[in-house]
Parts: sequence; structure tokens; C-alpha cells
Amino acid sequence: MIYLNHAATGFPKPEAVIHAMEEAMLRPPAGQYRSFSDGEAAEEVTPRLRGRMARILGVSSPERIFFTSGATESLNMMIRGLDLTRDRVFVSAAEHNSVLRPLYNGGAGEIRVIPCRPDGHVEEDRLREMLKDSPKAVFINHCSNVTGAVQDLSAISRWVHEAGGILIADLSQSAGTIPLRLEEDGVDIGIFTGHKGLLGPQGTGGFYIRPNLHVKPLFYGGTGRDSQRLVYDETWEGYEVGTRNEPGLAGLLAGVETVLSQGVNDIYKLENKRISSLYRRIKEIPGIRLYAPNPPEGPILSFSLEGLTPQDTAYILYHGYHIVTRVGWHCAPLLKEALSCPSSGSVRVSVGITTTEEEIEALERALKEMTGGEERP
Amino acid sequence: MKVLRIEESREPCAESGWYAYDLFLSRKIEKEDILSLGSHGDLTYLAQLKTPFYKLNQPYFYIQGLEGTAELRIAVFLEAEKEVMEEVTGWIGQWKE
Repeated sequence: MIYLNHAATGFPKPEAVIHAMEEAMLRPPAGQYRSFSDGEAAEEVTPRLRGRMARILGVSSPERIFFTSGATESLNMMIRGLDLTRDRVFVSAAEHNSVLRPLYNGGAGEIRVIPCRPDGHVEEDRLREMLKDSPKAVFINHCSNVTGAVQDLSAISRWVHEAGGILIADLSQSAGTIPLRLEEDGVDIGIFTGHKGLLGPQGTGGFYIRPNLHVKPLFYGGTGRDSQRLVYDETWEGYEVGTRNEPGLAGLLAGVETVLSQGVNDIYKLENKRISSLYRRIKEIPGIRLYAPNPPEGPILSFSLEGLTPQDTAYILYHGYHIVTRVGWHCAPLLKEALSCPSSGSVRVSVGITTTEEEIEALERALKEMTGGEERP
Repeated sequence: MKVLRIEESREPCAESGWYAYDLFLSRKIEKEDILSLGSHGDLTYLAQLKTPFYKLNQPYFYIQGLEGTAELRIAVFLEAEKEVMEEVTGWIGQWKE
């Protein structure tokens, strides 16, 4: 099987991740500061992970990084916690439903959509014009999960701050695959998931909140300390309550350490080489339409073929050639207008650190055969 | 030909309101079987592929698969599910053993 669906979930996971999760399940659980000290190894996981994630995200305040079940939970926590129900917010047309649905289901007073160009980039001139209406918050998908377009967080945060708003960046596709410097770029809140570029297990992820930005917690519960205090003041930031997913976080730590040992810069170069190679190989195939910047930016591109629905294309790729892609709208429904795809979406290809040039060649051969661009052997 | 079993597809397209089922058959599908589907609707047959692909389009369901395999997929709007499954398994029952 050729797995080209890393934007959905990174696969296969590094051996170190599997071993770390197994070890976490086998050792005594952390004592949560009470009565039992053999949980020392488990106690170390979360602080170590915060430190490693600070390097991935490019921030100097690891204590401002918190862990959740993933990007969706993080976004719901931030959207509800910011209490935007009477405020105006902007979302880019490239946002995922994990941003859109919490906002459109009572999460914001007014939502305006920042249009994107056909390659998935935000229309920056339109954004600057729109910012005259001073939104409270602006949501930007750093790397589009459809086109791979990477947005300029530094410039956008500057404009958003000048307008008096805050910038929330969805890093689901970029954490671990694209070098990040959230602090330097002025990102107020950064959302990440653990199971894609960070190579961790599903059900892990988290968020970063810049110092001095307070977001009310969505969940309340046990924290393992200060148990007699039932009511917290407005500044309480207990975002990690209840028993934590220690095996998941141990796996995420191993994934993040794998990423750091390989180096995010090198991962970016490798994945960009693969996706750029694919772009060059398939761009001239008769009847193909590519939905991606030229040259590609993130480790993702989408396409459609004339005369075949994206669903048929993906079906043939999987059942005829054992190539796994992803088909549909990829949970980014507002991009429809910008991309002018077929009515049923596009086929998405996304590469990872394990993707080889031979796998890219195999996809090229399959597409050429499907479009009649090359004789079958 | 017999339908040995029917499984809910692992790749449903619920996003677009379609529900898919994989039918596992008593023998591999041949070109003759595929071409016979043409009398039931709009048939696409990509014979140039190493493993030729076919798809029968109807307004309320479609069938797709690959020649030389012993399975096919039916995607159907939920409201028409029972009637479509009966109709298609009837066609397959008429194919040679």
C-alpha cells in the first residue's frame, strides 16, 4: 500500500511512539503529587512535552502550552472561552470545520469570511480592507489542508493587531512539518494536533496561548491540587482537568522527539521535495486540474481529472493501484468558491517523512494510465 | 453468480448523503458482466487501465468496481436503499455461475 494521506493522519507511526505508549501503559500511573512516588517517569512526560513543543512552536513560554484530545477540542475551548457571542470574527475561506462549526453554532456574534485565491492563499488586500471593521478575533489556517497554501502569519498578525484583534492560527497541518516561530510572528493562540506532522497518536493535541492573554476555561474538574477550593476567580487558567491521557501524551512526546531529532527544517525540505516533484510530474497530464500554489508550499496538493469524479479517481487509485488518497471537500467547505472544483470536491495527496520518490512515481504512472496519457505495460 | 455477503463499506460518502455497501461475489467479474450493466443505465468503462474500472450511474444509486475482482460497490441514497439492493442483486443473480 502507498499511503499518501498524511494530512488526515500520519502513518506509519514511528516505533518509538508505539513503544512509549506501551511503556506508559505498563508502568504504575503517576501519583498526582500524592502518596506514591513510583510514577516519577510518568510525571515527567507532560513537562518534557511542553518543553519540546515550545521548540516546535517557536515560543519561549512552555508553561503556556496545554494538552487536549486534539485540535477540535482545543478550538472549541478557545472559541467558547473567548466568549465571542456578541463579537465580530473573521475566518479565512480555507478554515476547517473544526473552526467553522463551533463558530457557526452559536460561537460568534457575526462571522465574516476572508476570501482566498484559487491556490488557497488569503486575499491579503481584501483582509486589510475588512480589518477596518475591527474584528475581535481572526482565524487563519496556517497551512491549507486542501491546497497546502501557507499563509504569512507574521504579516497577518501585524494587521490584525493594528485593528485591535487577536490572531488564532490553526497549525494542524504545519506543526512538525513547517518551521514555526509563533512568538516572533505575533500569534496569540496556536492550535495543534498530535497525530499528523507531530507523529503522535490520535486523540492528542493542544494549544498555545501567549502570556497575558486570558481565556476562560471551558471545563472544570480535578487537577490533583488545591482540592478545597471550589470556585476559581476570573484569571484561573486550569485548562488541563481530569485524569490525563498519559499513554497518548507519552506517545506524542516520542513523536515530537522524533520530529526534533530529524529537524523540522529538514522535514520541511524533504516533504517539499516530494510534493514539488509530484506537482512537476503530473501538471501536464491531459485533463488534470491542480489545486495548489505553484510551486507547492505545504506537504499537500489536490487535483481533479476531467471525465472522472474525484470519488471515482480515488476509488481507482486505491482499489486498482493500492494508493491511498483522500477525496471530498476535506472539511473545508468555504474553499469551494475559490477553487472551482467539481461539485464533489477534489482528490487530495499529502506526503509525510516516510514518502519515497518511488511512491510519487507510482502515483504519476497510475494517473497517466487513468487518463490515457501513457500505454499500460 | 451469487452474492456471498454484503458489508457496509469502510469508505462511505456520508458527507454527500450517499451510503455505500461492498458486495462480495462467488466469482470474478468479467467484461461481459460489466457490459451487461449498460442496459440498466449510463455505463462508464475504462478498459485502458491495467485493472479496468467500470461505473453504472443511475439517478438514485451507482455501482462501481474493477474488472477481474470478486467484489463491487453500490452507493445509494438512504431512502432508496432496500429497493436498489434487491434490484442489483437480481441482476447479479442472472449472470452466469
